[in-house]
Amino acid sequence: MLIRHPPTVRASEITPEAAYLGRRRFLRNAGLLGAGLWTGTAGAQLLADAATPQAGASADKPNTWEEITSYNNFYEYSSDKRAVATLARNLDPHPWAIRIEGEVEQPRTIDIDQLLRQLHPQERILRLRCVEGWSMVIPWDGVPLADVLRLVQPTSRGRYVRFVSLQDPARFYGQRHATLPWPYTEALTIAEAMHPLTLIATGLYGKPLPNQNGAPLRLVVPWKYGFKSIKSIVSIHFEEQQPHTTWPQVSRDYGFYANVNPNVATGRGSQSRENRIGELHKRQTLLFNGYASEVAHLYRGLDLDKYI
Amino acid sequence: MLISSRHLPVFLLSTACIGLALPLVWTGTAILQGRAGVNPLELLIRESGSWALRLLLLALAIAPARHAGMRLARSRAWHHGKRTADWNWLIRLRRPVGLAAFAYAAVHLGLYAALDLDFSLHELLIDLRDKPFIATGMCSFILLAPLAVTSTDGWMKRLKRNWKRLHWLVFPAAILAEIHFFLLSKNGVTGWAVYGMVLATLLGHRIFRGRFPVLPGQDRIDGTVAERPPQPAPSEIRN
Repeated sequence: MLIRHPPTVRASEITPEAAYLGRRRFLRNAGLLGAGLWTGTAGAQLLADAATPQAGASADKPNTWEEITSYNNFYEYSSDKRAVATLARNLDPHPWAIRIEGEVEQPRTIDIDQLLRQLHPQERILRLRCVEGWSMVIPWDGVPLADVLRLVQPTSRGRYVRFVSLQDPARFYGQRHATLPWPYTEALTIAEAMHPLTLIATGLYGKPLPNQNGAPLRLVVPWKYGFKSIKSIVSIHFEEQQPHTTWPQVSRDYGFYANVNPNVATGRGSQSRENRIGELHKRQTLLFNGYASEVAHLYRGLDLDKYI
Repeated sequence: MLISSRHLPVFLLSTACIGLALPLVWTGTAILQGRAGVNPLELLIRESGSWALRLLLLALAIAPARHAGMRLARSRAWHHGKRTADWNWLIRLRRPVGLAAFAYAAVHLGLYAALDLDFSLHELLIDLRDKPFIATGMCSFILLAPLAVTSTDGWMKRLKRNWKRLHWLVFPAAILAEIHFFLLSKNGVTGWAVYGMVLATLLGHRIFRGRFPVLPGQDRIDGTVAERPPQPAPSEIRN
């Protein structure tokens, strides 16, 4: 299981960051002091590694801040992953409000700061698998999407939840070109949206979400390809019919579900392997990105080869 | 020796070799010094492939460049030494450039096999089935391999006029390499179009000048000026 429930107050909030990082350095240096001690630790580590199951959470080392914030797919800025961080400096995501409407009892416009005060974000370390064939492990701070959606009391008529990103070519330079039909739109079924693994992320490594990662709030659906995890959300709509989302409009190789599936090729070709950022060799991709035990029941009876 | 110094002044050959090795040295040191950025695997495979295509286009650009040079020299009435008047030194650069293109393609393929496939035949078959760009890239490499092998003086002599027929394969290889690049490019990324336009210009130049045979072996393919048919001696005309 990758869901981690740390204490509400993180160590990083109490200890100043420098001291907090310095502690690791101290420990590392102390460990290196005695050579005999070091070999002993290494041996113990090897034994511990051998005992750890491969797909388990403990085998996944979170990617660094640098990696997560400098390699971003965010077409609203650019289709060049390395250019996004620079172009994103221009976005000032304050103030920010999201509109939640559609098949709900109480449509609302909620200010992001008010939302964060109401629902306390917690750290969730989750894998992200991009349809381009790379993946990361990211320590998000966020709240379950279900907690946000309950605020508006959905009616039974709403079977899908549609999300819309900000449209503002003045700040989203990439929107000056019709690379995608703007604004970016994504959607989930109600069951997917209410699943505890589905997150509204508002932070990263205990800090506010950087612009290039979808400030101030984005979706995180860890068992689906990254393009489902829509960034910089301005509105959420409850709908009866399955909404038209962005990528399936561009290419019919992309489906509505976009569940990570190593056995089914997409528009980007075979999805059997992935390039975990930080590793030089590719690794095998897991069904539902390794979250099959948590989410497979959502798709019981659904032909995963057909409903991509 | 693959690149005979007999064909090329030593300083030109050594400059060319150093220049052609620069991208490899540059990327290699970037990796070793940890300057390769967030995704070294992607950088390695992308850079080696890009340089293979760039050098292949450079090799194809040499004949048109020589032609342009000759025309320019003629129109300006430049005085040349006997050895430079035909601009043949440019043609002699083509072998090292072509071989370097093949070397980068081999590194590209090797990195894919080692780092991406982990030498798994099973994964290769999956890629060939699901990724059309893998198949086109492979085909391009397979077409280039015999050209690299037969690039020596010995093979040129042995194959005689078949050498040119064989080396006509560089055109389909370049077209396949460009299709490979196009197919792997994601939506919104248009770098392939620039390479496509360069390739179209280079092929167009040959078609326009009638030096691009539809079938291998029909005509000259290397852009060199054909020798004139033996002219009757002036005395014979008078008779």
